[in-house]
This record gives sequence, structure tokens and C-alpha cells, in this order.
Amino acid sequence: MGPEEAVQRLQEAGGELERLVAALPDSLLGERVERWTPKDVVAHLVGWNHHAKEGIRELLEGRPPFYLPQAKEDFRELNAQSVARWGGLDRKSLLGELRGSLQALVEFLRGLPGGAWDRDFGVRARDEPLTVLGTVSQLAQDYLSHTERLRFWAGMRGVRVPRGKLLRTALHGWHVRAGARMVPFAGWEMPLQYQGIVAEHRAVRTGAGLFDVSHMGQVRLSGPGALATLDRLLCNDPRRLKVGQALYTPMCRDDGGVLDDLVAWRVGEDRFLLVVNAARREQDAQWVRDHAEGCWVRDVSFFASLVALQGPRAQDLLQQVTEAQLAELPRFHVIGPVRVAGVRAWVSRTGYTGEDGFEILTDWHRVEAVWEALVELGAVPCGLGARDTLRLEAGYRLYGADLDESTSPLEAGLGWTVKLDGREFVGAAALRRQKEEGVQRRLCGLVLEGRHIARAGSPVLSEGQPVGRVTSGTFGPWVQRSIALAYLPRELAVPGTRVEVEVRDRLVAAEVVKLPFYRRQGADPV
Amino acid sequence: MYPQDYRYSSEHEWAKREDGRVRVGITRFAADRLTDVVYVELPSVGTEVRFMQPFGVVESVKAASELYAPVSGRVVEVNQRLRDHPELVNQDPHGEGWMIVVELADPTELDRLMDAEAYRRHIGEA
Repeated sequence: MGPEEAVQRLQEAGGELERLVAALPDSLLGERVERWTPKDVVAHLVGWNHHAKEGIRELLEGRPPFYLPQAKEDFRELNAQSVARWGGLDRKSLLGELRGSLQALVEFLRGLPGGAWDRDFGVRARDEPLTVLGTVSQLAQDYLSHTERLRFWAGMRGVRVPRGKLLRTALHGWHVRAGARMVPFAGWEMPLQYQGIVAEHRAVRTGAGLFDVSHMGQVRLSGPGALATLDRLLCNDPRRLKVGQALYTPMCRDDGGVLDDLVAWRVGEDRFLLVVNAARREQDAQWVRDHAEGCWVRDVSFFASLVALQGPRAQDLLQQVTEAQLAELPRFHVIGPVRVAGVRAWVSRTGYTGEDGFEILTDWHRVEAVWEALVELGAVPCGLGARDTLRLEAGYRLYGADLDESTSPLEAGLGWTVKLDGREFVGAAALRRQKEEGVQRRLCGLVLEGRHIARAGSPVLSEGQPVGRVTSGTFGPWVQRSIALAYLPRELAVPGTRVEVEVRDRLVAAEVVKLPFYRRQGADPV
Repeated sequence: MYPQDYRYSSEHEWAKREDGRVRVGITRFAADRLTDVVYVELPSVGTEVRFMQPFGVVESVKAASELYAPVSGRVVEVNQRLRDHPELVNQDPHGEGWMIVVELADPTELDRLMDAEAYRRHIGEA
């Protein structure tokens, strides 16, 4: 299908949607805050064919629309601004908006730069009018600037994103009602803690903790070129993945510097999902898009919510709300779609705490049912504070602290994720050279004496000379030791080496140890 | 929440007068902001502390924060329990989580601190 044919399909889709709008009863059109505004309906009509149809059915069948309660607050304000524009909320203005939106998409299609259609659009062979409509409008968003895209998506999600304000996950209202202390993190407003970091940390080590990690990004690749594209971008080898498997991997620049560390899920023969760090989401999506061939790359972060259920009781609890056979789901495997608490979800056996556990991906707005069902069963809500202390005990690196573009995965001790044999991914040449020559510094675990705590930036000294800096440090609530990660010259990066860490004008004795600081019983060796 | 008979510093320490002595700790607000306290570094008995000068450090899993003396004087008592039970600072910041007792050198310094109401305004809770 070419762009002109797509325009034709769009017009057919418009006709189909107009018939649907014509079928909406007057009573629904009058509803403003409690249900949808016409603008919301239109956003769904033109933006997302599956939900457009589903949404209209919901309206027609009188089912409650799927927006979260707190989104109503945002609607109210949004409405105040748009009432003037919308005036009477009649069917005519609704149709007018629909036609206007379609026209904008048609113009967008006609204004596409040469080659863009074949590269980014043509891979979607299905030509059902509503599918074409959905595809084109989503792709149109990919061509918008980041801010425009955010606003567009946010509008579709019913979430307002005021300029310069922090983003909120679909569980934001729940966190606030639960009394969580909210803090800014990577552009999002996230819970730092509910009860307390130490209590939450212990809950994960002994029972089950529940984390909202919806701030993390999801980038989807689909199309016949998806595997080859990832093979060119990831240090770990995606060809090892069968459908239903996941792997942890760095993604590097040409010089071997780490752009991000992520988990890649293979959810279909030609479909992958990259779960990336919140702060790197935009750059990652752009990077993958720039290198993609024969596949369609979409940042779906605002369509997906992600929660992590972690701890020795995680399987126990989750099994009570899903028919998926969790005992048969090995670590780093993923299944879906399955029902979790009645919600369509993907479930992976992955995590960032050093415990057994799962990550559960749902539609953005459906996550609260999953969250509440698990809390009801006894999962302890945990904030980013415990997430950080848990990951540090488990020796997991944090992007932005222990990893960045100036560090290589080999220096960071992630050599086991760098599969060089016969591969030519971005950064492979640099990493191969580094491997042959040996790295000059390595990320090490440090245990400090006493309760003095090293923080990121604390200098590390050997025989009075500065030799490196701490990248992460805390007091490990479970291991009950002051622990840290630091880059040290390779001759010192040997377990048992004694060094000193400068903590507030004082030198504290420390020992290089093998990572991790904490390993659960029966854990895999890596 | 904030005892009426305590005085409060802008750096979130409290001072409770006990005759010629003053018991010192950090406020509920500060304890909550710090998150879980895992280590408290305190001066030894006999040390001289000075009005609004650092006398120790409190460390949580998230951050370290200096402690400022709300009054000047000689330290006559130190809360030894905090060595093994730093969590007392979070559990009972205005009571068992106290840090030091100072022999008050200059009673007028107490007037330079806030009362409970002014402190609550200071932290935006009034």
C-alpha cells in the first residue's frame, strides 16, 4: 500500500466512524465530565482504532468508561478551558472535529518526506480502514516533536501534561491517597516511600513488595526487520531469544559508551519490546528509530503501565489472581496476553531487587485493578527508595549513576552481556579492542567499615592517592553493612584489596568485595 | 505533633529546656524528610557545641544531613541507644530519639528559636 491508497482507507475509516458517531444516543453526548468529552471521543476515534471501537461500544452499552477516577479532576480543568470552544456539545461539532482530525492526517500523509512511507509505514500490510487510521495517526505522533507528542498522547490518555510539570503514572492518585512521599524522578512524580524504606526493603526480602515502575519506557519494534535491527544495536545477542524470552543488555554508542541498559522481550516472531530507563526513553526510541530497517518502532510508554511484584512470596500472590501457570515460567521468560486480576497483561519473570519476582505490563489505565488486587493479597507497596537499596544490595547497576555514556559495559562488569562472537553491533569494534587490551578500570563493590556511608562522588583513595570515585552508596538494610560501587584501576579491582573512602573529611577503611552484596538462596550464579 | 514547650530551629532541631539543661533532637518533619535513619554521629560528653554550628551528622539510607546545635554549651549527656537503634529517630523523634543534652550557656539563645506555631508555619504545616 502506498500513501495515496492509505488516504483512501482513511476516508473510508472516516465514514465508518461517522456512522458510529451517528449511533451515539443524545444522552451520552450531553455527558461531559462523568463520561467523555467529545474531544476525548474523537481522540480515541482517530487515534487508536481498537480503543475507539471498544470505547464507543462502552458508551453504547452504558458500561463505565475506563478512565481512572483521578483523571476526572484533570478533565474538569481541561473542560473549563475547552467549554468555550466546544459550546453546545452537539453531534455536529463532534463530527466536525472528527473530520478535521482526519483532514490533518491526510495532510500529514501527503506531506511525508520521500522514502518515509516505505521505511516506517509500508511494513504494516494490513489494510482494514480502521487499522490504517490507527497506524497512520500513531506514526504521525512519532513525527511530532517530543512535546507535541507528549501532549497528543496525554490528551488521548485523559492526562493533562502542563508545560514544565512532572508526569504522573496511572497509579499517582493511589500513591497520594496511600500517603506516599512523592518525589521528582526522571521527569516523573514518583513515590519515594510509603511506610519507610527499611520496612519496604525487608518486605521484599521476606515476603512480597509491589512497585509502580510505569515511569520506565517501553519501545516496541515490529516487522520482519525487528530482529536484525536489534542484532545491530544490542550488546547481548537477541538471536538467542525464543518467543517468550527476555534478556538484559546494554545498548552502546560506536565508541562502546553505554547509551542505556534495558531488558528486551521477544513477544512474537517479529515483535520485541524494550523496557528502558525513564530518563533515557526519548533518546533510546530515537536511536532505535534512526537505526531501524524493515520494522516499525514505537514508543508505547504512555500506553503501558508496568508494576513489579518482588519477593519470595511473589509467585504465591500473583498465582491467586492469574490463570497463567507461573511455576512453569522460568526466570527471564515472558508470557502474554494473560489475565491478571481480570486485566489483559503480559507477565515477565524479571526484576531489579535480587529476589524472585515478576513484572506485569498492562494497558495504561487498567493497572489499578492489578495493583489493588495484589495489595489486597498482602503485597507491600514499595517506593523508589527501597528499589534503590534493594538493587544496590543485589549489585545491579543504575543508569546515570554506575553507567553512562562515558563507561563501557566491560568496565562496568557487564562483560557477560557483551556477545562479540561473529557479531557487528554498534560499539562491537570498540568493545572488541577493549577486551583485547584489557580495561583500565572496573566497577567494584566496596564494603565500608562501621556505619559511615559513602555517597555518589565520594573519592576512593589507595595509599593516600585518589584512585576513583564512588558511583552509588548506601547502608544495606538487609546486609547491615555500608556498601558502595566505585570504579577502580584494574590492579586494585581485586576482591580483598584495602582502600579508603573519603566520607565528610574523614577516611573510612573499605574492602573490595565480589558482587553482589546479597544473593538470595538458590539464586542463579549470574 | 510539635510539643508546645519545645523550641525549634530553622534547621529542624528541637530544644527542650530541663532546668539549666537543654535536650536536643531533630523534628518529626526532618526525620520524615531524611527517610530511615541508619547512623547518627554524635559528639562525646564534654564537647562544647555552639549556637547553630554543626555538632553531628545523621545518615539515612538516602542522604546525610548535618545536625546544628540550637543552643551553645557543654555536652553533658549523649543518647547511647542511637548507636544500636538509630531507628528511634524515626519512631520517636521528639522523645526517645533525642540526641544530646547540653548545659545551657546562654538562655537568651532559646528566645532566638521558634515556638511550635512558628515552626509549623516554617515547614508549611500551619
